[in-house]
Amino acid sequence: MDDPMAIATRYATITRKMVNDATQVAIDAFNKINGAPGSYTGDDAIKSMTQLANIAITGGSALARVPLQIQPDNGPMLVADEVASVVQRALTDAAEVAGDAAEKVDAGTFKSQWVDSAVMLTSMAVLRAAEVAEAIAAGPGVLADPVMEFGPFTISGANLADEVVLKMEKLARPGVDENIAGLVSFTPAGGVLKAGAKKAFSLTINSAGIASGMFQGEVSVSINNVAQPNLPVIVNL
Amino acid sequence: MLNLLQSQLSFYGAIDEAVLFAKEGGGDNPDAVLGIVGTLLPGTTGFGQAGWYRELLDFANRPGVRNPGLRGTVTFPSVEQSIEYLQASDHEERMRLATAALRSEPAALPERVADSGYTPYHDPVLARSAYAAMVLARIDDLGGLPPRLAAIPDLPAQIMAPGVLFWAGTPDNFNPGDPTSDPTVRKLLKEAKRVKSRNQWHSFAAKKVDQQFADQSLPCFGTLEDFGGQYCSTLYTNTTDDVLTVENIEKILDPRNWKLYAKFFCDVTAQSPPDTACGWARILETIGPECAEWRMKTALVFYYGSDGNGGIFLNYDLDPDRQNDSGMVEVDNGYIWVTPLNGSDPSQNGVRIRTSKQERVQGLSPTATAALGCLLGWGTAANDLLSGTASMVLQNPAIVTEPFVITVLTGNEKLSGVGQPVGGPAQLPPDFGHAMGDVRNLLNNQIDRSRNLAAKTADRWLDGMTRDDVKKITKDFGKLLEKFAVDAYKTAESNVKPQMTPTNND
Repeated sequence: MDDPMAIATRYATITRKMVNDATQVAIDAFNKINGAPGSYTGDDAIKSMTQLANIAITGGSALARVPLQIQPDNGPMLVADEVASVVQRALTDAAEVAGDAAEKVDAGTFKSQWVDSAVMLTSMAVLRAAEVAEAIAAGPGVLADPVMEFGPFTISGANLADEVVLKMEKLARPGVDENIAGLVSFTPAGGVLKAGAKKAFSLTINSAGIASGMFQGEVSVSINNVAQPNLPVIVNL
Repeated sequence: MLNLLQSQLSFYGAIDEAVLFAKEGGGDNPDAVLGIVGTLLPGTTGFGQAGWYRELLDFANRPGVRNPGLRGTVTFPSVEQSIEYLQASDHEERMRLATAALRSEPAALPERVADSGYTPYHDPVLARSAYAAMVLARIDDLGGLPPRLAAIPDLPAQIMAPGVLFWAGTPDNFNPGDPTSDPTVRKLLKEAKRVKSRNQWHSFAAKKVDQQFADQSLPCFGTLEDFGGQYCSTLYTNTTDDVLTVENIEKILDPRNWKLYAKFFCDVTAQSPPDTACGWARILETIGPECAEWRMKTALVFYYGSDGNGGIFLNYDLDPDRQNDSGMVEVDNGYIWVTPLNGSDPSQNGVRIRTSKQERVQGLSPTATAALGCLLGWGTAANDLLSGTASMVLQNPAIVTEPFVITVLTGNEKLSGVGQPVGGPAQLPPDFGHAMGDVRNLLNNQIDRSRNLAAKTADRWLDGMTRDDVKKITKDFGKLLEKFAVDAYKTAESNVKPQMTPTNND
């Protein structure tokens, strides 16, 4: 574990920086708008928005990582994973809003719409912050176990004394340019059915991050080092 | 709006109201109420979960969901209105009630139109209404109904009786003046007071009514799964029927037939061009309990397949080209898998239907998304396929259905875009204006607390750390983080969810 003081300092520093930076952005914009009406341009708006988004996103992300440095078990790792995805989405959203604003500025149509964009971006940052908080706190729901098992599948044409070696060649939804064969593990381990063992196997797939659907696949089969026709399998993830 | 689907939803909304009441400490045994509802309707009582019904109402009024042609706002029916509609004896009565509620001409839902094929017999909505009645009876027994609901005479019985008797095809046994006159209803209500688990209810309902009723009565509930970096509500269902065959289901499985027997689907039509480059069919679904008021349009692609063992399946995902789409759905994929119950002969009686769906709707919590799926439509696809109305569609040669045609792939397909969650600029609920300031205040408080803890930590560190010190500090950090997270979440929640408004009776 890191020096607890260092952790505490990091924690305080991140939060203080978020607050100070965000407040400064708002104050700068406010001063410019009120101090010299008309001087706050679309370019300034985009700059403010980008700063605001960066503060919320990077600060929120850093804040969420602190517990990882204290208690690096599976629970916080899941939270960090979720936080990372939220932050990534926030970045994408912010880029779209800012990009849209930039296009309008270039086209000379932005004018007073920067307020809408700023509100949208600020709100978006808060929405994502709420999602982060949701992930950290009570959790938004019951997390499903992503590990699924299928089988047993039997190998026809193999005798008890044979050694059979299996390999998942392809696993995808029909017609979709994807292959999740790498996520499949065999039981017995390694897809090796040794001589004397039953000629049956099962598949274990960690479906985290994978779309739900019926996946069709092919298992290559080798009996005593002689290749056999592939075995088709279908699994519901 | 007033229809069977929405009426059923309002009964679950009443449960949500009782949960909010309990969370405020209302009723005789608030902890017991929260405990039993959490068991019977998992995932509906925690932070960010309770209050889903009002969240759904907000959602129905969001731009892109609320029908722009609607005058005024979308309102959900009261429990009293819903009971009256549920107890209506025929389509004419339902049409009259809907007309009175809407103050205009309501949509021609099958349940309101003569000769539409609709029958309450084995309607899963009625079975789920009975389950809601059981939960309400349990809450009532614990003294947990809010005053407004407690004032409704025989509330659980008023829902349970038509739910059970209409579903079973014995409407003549229903006496509106005495909802507990039927012995089966009486036994179910008596048992409801003792129910401690979903399984216990399921076993009893199977014994007193039948297996299909028990299966259909249990609402599914969503679990969370990660897909492409986003957490989605995932709904799984698995149901069986001893009489129907795979070949029967095959005749009505094409999505374009769903509107004939599933209430949630207002329209499901082919898009143009009809197929993607991958060979999957492009289809636009329009869903909502009363589409004249609120609805979502989602552009999907479908693959029609055979499992090679007597079964058939549909795979679906978002269309990479969101043509005519409301843009509300960020993730929508899954399957419907229909297999022979025994063996591999699709003409043999007995069928099993398994479904899975990953769903993420922009700005809608996982709990409200699950309610949308499990109580209104998507998660009930299997039950709808086995409903009496689906059987009527199968038996009526005058009703033309679209055939299930296996997708043929040439081997050169690429389906870029499918399987990728869709994002876009966030659109937000209306009350977000003050949220940024709230978050700033929370963070400032957090800094203060962190600073205090840091000082304590430093003292311990300077004195030399022991194992117990590490444990203590870790525990303190945990508490600190928990408090911050809960505060932050409560604040965020208060900005996006309506607060419980006390009524004169509360």
